[in-house]
Amino acid sequence: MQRARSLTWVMRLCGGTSAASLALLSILVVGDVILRNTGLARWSWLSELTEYLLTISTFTGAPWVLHNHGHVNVDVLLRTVSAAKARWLVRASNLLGGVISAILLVVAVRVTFDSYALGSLVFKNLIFPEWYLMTPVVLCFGLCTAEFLTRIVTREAHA
Amino acid sequence: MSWLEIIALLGGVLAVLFAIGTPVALAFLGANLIGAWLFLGSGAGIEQLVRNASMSVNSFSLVPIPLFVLMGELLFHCGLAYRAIEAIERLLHRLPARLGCVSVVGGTAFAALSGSSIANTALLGGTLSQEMLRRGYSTTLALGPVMAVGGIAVLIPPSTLAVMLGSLSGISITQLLIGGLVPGLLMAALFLLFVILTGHFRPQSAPRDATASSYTLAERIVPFLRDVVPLFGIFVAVIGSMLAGIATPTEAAGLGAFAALIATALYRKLSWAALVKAMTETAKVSVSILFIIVASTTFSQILSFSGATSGMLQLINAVDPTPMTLIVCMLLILLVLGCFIDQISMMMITLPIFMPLAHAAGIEVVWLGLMMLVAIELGMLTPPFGILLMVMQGASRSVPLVSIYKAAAPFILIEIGVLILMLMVPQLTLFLPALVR
Amino acid sequence: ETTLRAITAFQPGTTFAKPFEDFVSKVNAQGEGLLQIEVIGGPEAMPPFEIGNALRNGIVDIANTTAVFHASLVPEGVAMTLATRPMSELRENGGYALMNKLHEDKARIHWLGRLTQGINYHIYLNEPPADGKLEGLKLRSVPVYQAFFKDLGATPMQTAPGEVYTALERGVIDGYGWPSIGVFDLGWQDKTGARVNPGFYQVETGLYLSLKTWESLSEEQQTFLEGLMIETESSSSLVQDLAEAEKAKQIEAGIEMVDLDADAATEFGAAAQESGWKPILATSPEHGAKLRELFAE
Ligand code: NA
Ligand code: NA
Repeated sequence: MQRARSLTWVMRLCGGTSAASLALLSILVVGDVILRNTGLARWSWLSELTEYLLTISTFTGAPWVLHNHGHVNVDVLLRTVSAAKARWLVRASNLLGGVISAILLVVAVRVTFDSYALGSLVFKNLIFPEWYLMTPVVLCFGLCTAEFLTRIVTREAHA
Repeated sequence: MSWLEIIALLGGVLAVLFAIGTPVALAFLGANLIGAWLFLGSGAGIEQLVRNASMSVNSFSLVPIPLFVLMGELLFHCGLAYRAIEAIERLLHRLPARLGCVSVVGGTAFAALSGSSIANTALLGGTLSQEMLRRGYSTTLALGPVMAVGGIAVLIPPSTLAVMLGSLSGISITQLLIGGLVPGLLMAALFLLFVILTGHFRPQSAPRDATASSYTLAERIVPFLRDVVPLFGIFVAVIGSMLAGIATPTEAAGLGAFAALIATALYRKLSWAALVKAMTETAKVSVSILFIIVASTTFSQILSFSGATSGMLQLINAVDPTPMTLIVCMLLILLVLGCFIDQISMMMITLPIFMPLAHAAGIEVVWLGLMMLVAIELGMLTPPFGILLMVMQGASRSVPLVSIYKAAAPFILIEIGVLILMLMVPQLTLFLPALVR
Repeated sequence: ETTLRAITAFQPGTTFAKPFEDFVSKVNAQGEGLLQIEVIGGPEAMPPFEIGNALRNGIVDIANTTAVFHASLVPEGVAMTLATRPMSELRENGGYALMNKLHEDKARIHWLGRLTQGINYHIYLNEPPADGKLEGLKLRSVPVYQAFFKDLGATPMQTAPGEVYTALERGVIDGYGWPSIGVFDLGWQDKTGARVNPGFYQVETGLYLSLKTWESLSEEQQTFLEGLMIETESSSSLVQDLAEAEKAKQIEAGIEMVDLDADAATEFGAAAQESGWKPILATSPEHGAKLRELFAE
């Protein structure tokens, strides 16, 4: 239980990061319009940064949304079968969700190390190592795996 | 494997994962794992899948989604939307299904400026729809129009999808944009008519506030002037910045969110707590949409890579090449593809095959292009996997998906009706472009 | 007989898919019993920026793409876009060999050769510049020439492809950078009123193979591919004709040609080169300097 609670805190932190990224994205978009039209500055990397913020927000936010049961699922069958059967379906989906996340985690870690070892660069206006962009993905599937594991261990049966 | 076997396999995996209630995005990713292993090439294939997935939302084209959601959430969590809705309820007391009409008209207006039906549905689905449900409106009226106005969005300019179609097919963009006006407005009128008739014949689907009838004329008009009219300023900020050449449609969405923020401050409703709440809700809704996009984009890439989509498209070559049958088959293929594949990919895959056939059969391409747009938009709305249904489900988690399907059904039928009308009466789409040619 | 699985970064039916389609039909006609190419798909099947990795990992055998798209793996590849010498010269002076070696060492990609040569980029504007000046213009750009636009005093903008048309119409952007051919592919000609001459850089699209695949080919197959490639490269005067034809078509569509005077044109070209080489030299000082010597006059 203790561990489940500390997971909640990590998830909240992720949610905060995701929301803050979107806030920053909004500010950058408006800021870009103002800067350009007033001729105060020409920062061509601003719009590039908004794209990265979108990626960061999506992947850090996804486990938090999962933790809060906020991801869309098809509940047609879950709502028609008996409560007992629905619990079994939920357990099966938690198990498969965990397996899918775990595989993606392992592969994402490998891709990140590969990119790091190779020294791949994002070669646009901003030049930086490509593996930076992979870390939110590793975090995402790592925490999704943790979330499904917790659900399996605590036998949580919420859809 | 033949294309049919591939679709059966990946579709089967998806169906099972969907059925047991796995989150849609993870279900797609699960099917992607199998597809990548089989068709991209075992371990290296899965690594490629992860790379493609991690870059899939790294796109400026998706920026309007969080910006539009933020605009709506700001108005909603700071209480402005609530007061505006209350004022409209009072002013239009006698109109059946008042808020249903508001969602069609407002949805069309936002559609006219957003160009993204996902952003549009996310904006209204998270705000207006929720308030309508709270006021006891039926799901058909509360959710249906908000999902369906995307069909109007692609037809009425500015329409990113119409521009993309023009760019990818060589059809004149100007002609497409002008040609979409009449069918788009017709669709809006039919939606409005349906909503009003529903409200009229089934008053329980749009309950009235009992005390509202006792208000004086001033009590009806003053709240409208105070709580609704100033909000048009947001609309002006978005439309005006585009018309004045200050901002692109994407940036205009940002200015709209900014205007909403200023509006809440002017109404003295802006608090740190409300701002944090609005930001958090924006993240929740946007992330659930973007995560599905991550998964479904890579799914359609794998489907294309495996040869399944091009195999399916070969069917069209077996068709009797008279214009009518050809068009009907093209539209049917788009409706089926819409179950699996995103809009832009759908156009990229089908246009290189459809356009030469259309030219050979002497089909008027502006007419065909507009019908394709409606069919593509319909694909986003039809069960089981229609991204707009999923967006709505993300915005209202308490409503069963079946109810969302049901809410969309009448509007899907109207859209199909308009599509058939466009097919039978080409003049509907072609007379305006002919005037400016 | 070996069949190579191919992917293209350019939408079938568009300008830069054409040279590849021609190459494929030549291979399939002349290579019967020896080598065939099967095109799996375009950008809908593999995101263009991921093609480099797909080649590196052997997910596809051969690709029609540009080094700009896999600059994450081989940043030096952008030098091909800046090249002012033709391929025939680069094959002689060691420029080709060095670039190919960089690709093989860094990314396990074999560079077969170039499909597009001598096609310049141009600045297109929604209306002719009032005083012939480019300063202060808002131009839609992509990373390859963003630095150049900025050094010109223009404001480079990133605009989603679906929004360029509307942005041009409303004046949110004053123009965009695009090759001398292919404007009609996008339908932007309706909102384009002027084109600035001369052009700058040269569009690079080419054929790249997974090194693993390349090494698995027999000598006969390698020679066959190389022979066809060099033949294609030397017949690129055809592409020049294409550019001339396109220019006439643009004028007919009402796009006014704005020609810089001789001095301005020289300065324009030099500025483009300066801005273009800067990031390459910064990322890869040693190879960058060598490449500049070999690729540019
Ligand atoms: Na629109
Ligand atoms: Na669908």
